[in-house]
Amino acid sequence: MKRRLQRASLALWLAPGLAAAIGVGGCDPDASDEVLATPDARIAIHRVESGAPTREGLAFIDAVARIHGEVDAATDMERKVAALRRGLALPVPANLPEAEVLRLELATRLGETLAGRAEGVAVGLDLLEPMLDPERSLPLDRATARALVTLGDLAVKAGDDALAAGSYARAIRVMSSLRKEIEQ
Amino acid sequence: MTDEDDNATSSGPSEQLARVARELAALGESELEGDVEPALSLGFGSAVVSDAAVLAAFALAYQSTATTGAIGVAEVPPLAELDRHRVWRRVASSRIAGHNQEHARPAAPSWRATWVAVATAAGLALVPMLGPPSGSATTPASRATAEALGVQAREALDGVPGKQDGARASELAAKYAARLDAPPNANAEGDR
Repeated sequence: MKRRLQRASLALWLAPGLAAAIGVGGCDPDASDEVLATPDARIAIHRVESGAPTREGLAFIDAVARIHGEVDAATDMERKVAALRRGLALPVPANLPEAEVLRLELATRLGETLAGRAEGVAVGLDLLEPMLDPERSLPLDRATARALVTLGDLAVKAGDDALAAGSYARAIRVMSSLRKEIEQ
Repeated sequence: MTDEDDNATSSGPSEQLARVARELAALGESELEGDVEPALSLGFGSAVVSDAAVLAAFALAYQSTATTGAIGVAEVPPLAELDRHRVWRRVASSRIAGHNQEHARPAAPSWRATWVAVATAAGLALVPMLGPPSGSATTPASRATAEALGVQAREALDGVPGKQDGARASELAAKYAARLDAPPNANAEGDR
């Protein structure tokens, strides 16, 4: 209950800033001359439908599970990064829609790992931005929301607030869709 | 959470909301009517927080820029200047109603309240981003709002059920193997 109230209070706390922002934005005579950094909140999502199972598909999923096991066991960042890169390099067998989510999780985990170092932030962005491009349809899955949150975190570290806000908003929209899916 | 947040929880929001409501009411506009209202309810005082609410919030946040079309809100009808004032007035009054309703109803489903807060932050926190100067990727205001939005997104993510990484891959492998080993008829039945 307390956490719920705390969340609500944060949102409520933002209200005065909102009113002020409307006032400032509306009164700035130079605003129309500026090209503003604008978050891109577009999101296209699709359901992941399972295909007919194959031996190759099972081998791929097993390999991804082993990669995650390696990462769990690794103590230094270099080994974690190397293992996750190997995971992303695994060839994806045909007719395995689940691979999209598994690859997204590998990339997200790699992004999270890279975010631990300043020099890794740009690499993480280079990895996740194309995978989560607003032009692309993304799987309706918790992994997508997590990936977008990670992209937002990396963008904050890189000082790109528009990308961060857009990514967080897209994550929220994915979770909103997931909520509807769960409630149905 | 800090003591300041706790204080805001116990007494601040109502006063802040009332102040917002007074400021917006001073605009002197009548209640919002028509088909934009459902999309702009933002879930306050109700259990519905829709994707349209987030879209509408974005549309509101970027109405005064020339770049609305670039943020994927083409499906939200553009609002006239006066309508924006009406909308924010409705938002403020709905927030007060929702806030009071929550205090009067202690056993509401918890994750719905979370979504209300998330959608609120999604819409409201982005508004200050109207202000960054040309060529600037960050300002104190945009940084603060991005971080606030990030907090909301992460907290919401924590509330979404499901495994991840190795646990999820292992679970998927087990289910996939079971499907692979099942007779063809069973798989066809499962697909239906």
